[in-house]
Amino acid sequence: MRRRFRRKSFFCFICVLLSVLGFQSVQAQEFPTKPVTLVIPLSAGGSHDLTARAVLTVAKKYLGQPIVIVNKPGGGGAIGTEAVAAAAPDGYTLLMGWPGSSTTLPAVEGRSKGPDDFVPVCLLNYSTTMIVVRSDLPYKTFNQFLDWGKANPGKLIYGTTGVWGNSDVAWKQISKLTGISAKVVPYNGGGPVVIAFLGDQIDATAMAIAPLLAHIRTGKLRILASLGEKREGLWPDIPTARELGVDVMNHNWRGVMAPKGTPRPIVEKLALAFKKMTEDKSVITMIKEQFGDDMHYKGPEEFAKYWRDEYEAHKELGKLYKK
Amino acid sequence: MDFLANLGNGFVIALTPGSLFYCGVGVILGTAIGVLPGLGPAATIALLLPITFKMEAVSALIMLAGIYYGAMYGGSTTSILLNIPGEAASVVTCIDGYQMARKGRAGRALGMSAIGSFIAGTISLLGVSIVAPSLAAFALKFGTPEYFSLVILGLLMAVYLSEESVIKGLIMCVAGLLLGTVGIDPVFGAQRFTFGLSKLVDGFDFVVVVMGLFGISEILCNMETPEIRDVFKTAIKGLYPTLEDWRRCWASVLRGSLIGFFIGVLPGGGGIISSFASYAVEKRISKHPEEFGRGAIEGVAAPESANNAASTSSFIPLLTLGVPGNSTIAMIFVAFMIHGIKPGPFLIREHPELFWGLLASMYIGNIMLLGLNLPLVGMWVRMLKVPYRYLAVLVVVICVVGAYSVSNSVFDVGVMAVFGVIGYLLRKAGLPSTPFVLAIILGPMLERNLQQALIASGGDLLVFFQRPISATLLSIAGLLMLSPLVRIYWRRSHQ
Repeated sequence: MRRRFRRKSFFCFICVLLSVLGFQSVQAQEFPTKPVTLVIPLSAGGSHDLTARAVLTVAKKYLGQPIVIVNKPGGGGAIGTEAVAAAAPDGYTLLMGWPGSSTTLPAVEGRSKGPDDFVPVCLLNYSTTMIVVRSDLPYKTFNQFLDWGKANPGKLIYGTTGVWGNSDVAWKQISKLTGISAKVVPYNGGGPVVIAFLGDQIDATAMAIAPLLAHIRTGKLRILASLGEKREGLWPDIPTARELGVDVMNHNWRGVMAPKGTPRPIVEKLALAFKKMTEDKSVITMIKEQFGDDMHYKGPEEFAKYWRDEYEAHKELGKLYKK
Repeated sequence: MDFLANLGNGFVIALTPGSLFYCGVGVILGTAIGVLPGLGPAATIALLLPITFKMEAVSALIMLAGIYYGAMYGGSTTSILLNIPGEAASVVTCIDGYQMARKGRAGRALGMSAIGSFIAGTISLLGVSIVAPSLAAFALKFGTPEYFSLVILGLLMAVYLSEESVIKGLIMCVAGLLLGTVGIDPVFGAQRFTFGLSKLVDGFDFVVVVMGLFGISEILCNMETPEIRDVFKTAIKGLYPTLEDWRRCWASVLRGSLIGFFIGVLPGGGGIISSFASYAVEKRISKHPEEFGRGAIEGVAAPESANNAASTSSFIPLLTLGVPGNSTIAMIFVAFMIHGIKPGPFLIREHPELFWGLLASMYIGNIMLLGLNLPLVGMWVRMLKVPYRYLAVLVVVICVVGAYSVSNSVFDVGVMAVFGVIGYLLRKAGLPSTPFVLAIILGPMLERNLQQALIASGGDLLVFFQRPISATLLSIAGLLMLSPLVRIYWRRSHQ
């Protein structure tokens, strides 16, 4: 009886000692003891929302706790992003970041929160931005397109999905590098750009091509180049702009990040769980069949570098275009 | 009659027990969220999307579409009973619907809007079944200059449909356009009038503005009179439209359906513009225009028919081109994608069962909605017998919950309260709120299309007059502006 009590108190002592000395690692071992919240700074039903929902169907299997999605849209993503940046850095509140409010807004406008205010956890996947033009126009390759644009300054009409959105940033980078100029017409999202294409209102755009696929099939539109790191699995014949000497990359990525100050072991535990989720067969099929996307997992370090590079590039761009 | 055979096959799919079940779930959900302001069809469908992951494609689409057009039926209920528009396309219904309710004719207004919606929905569906592809081509002719001119015409109609003087209408229209500029500038991305608040970056949400301007200000006004029960004391005369109502309305319903069908095809804003365009038309050609604004039943029948016809025809760009025309349709587009189907020019050929099954289910859904909404009329009308001091509390609760639910933010509740006070002051000053609200909704569209058209034309203003559709729309707007002068001249020369 007495020995048992002693053993118990010894155990307690060890626990206290551990929690004092190795608080972080114990916390990480126990983490998570309750459901984790993933804030999406965009509306429900968008590609970020749906990708997250598909990936998180298996969260409990690999993390031991479910991950609950909360949509906090508004301010171009700034509202949800700022809320997570201010949350407790304990790993229970995470953000689904994307280039708009995680890179461009903080780099160009000083709004929202960027890589300085978060610990990157991992990159889940991305949709590559592709350069698409109307097929009835004289240029058939990316280089012909650039030449035509330079030979006919101000003739080209380029539609974007919104000012400082992916397609706008991509064009700013391309024209900075190549000197091509166009009339840049900002639309209100991808849908209106498609309508403008079909109504012959614009000549070219660069965006994730899911909404354009049907019209690429009819022959109305043509893909000239991809702005990916390497050629797309689904489009092996489409060259990347980098291959053709225009070093511009543009991905609409979906990444998980935690508030600055989140303990390293917790970040690693989360990253590992997400890695397993993105490798889960059921998740891969769902993402592929439903959105035609792949998973492109990048761990904390790799993702941090990618994000930081993008951030610096956009900062530069901001200085150039924003007076 | 190829389409009859196809439609027949569609009905085979739509009449299976599973399809009927999902259609029923959709329209009941749609009616519920249509009645409650705040949570709109786009948000509801977004929330339900993950559930449809495992459903069959046809069932999922039948249900989601049901939510969309079901919400159009429900949207008029709070407009008529409480002066709170359930969605943007029901703002106009408030003008005469609420006046009818105050005169004890709420049942007839609700009944007429349900039956009008049914007729319009059916006419529009017939249109979609027969001429969908050619209409889609028409929608594509609408570029940015055309939209700019359409919004100009729409705003002028909004000015003219108000009860008050044209000058007051114009003043409020300009004030609304100014409020519409709050937020991010569409071309340069600069923040305007946001005072550094992230919450203002997206501008004002129309649901929040409208609940303040209409719902809250109505309560503030009624608080002035001590015995408020008088407001609804008038005995409720008849639950359903009378033969006389029918005689007055059948043509309005038909005109509303046609206007809604054609304008609804245009992506963006089609439903809203069609509702007040049809109201303006009715007022203009009516033999007793003085009744408009005081409870004319045509003022309910026409816009309610128009917005329902528009909600059906707005499927055309999606189903034939793969282009979503508004935020709710965009959600349905996502539902297609989830099931591995890419809506577009190939949809009818590659997935005929889906296209025709969906259309057939919409015929059935419309019948269900009529059966659901007519019996509800009695219940809604009985609600008005609740003493106003309790009803007023209920209205405030609905508005607060509705404003909060738009984006889960207390800030919006505050915005609604401010607009409630603004609405009250406007009434005291005799200034109309309808053109004000419509300008807030359409202002950003006007600005964006103006800028887009001018960028593409290199700053040449003539672009608005060189394109035939745009020029026609602007000419009609010009004639509308001149018509009071013509009338004055006419009156003088005949005295």
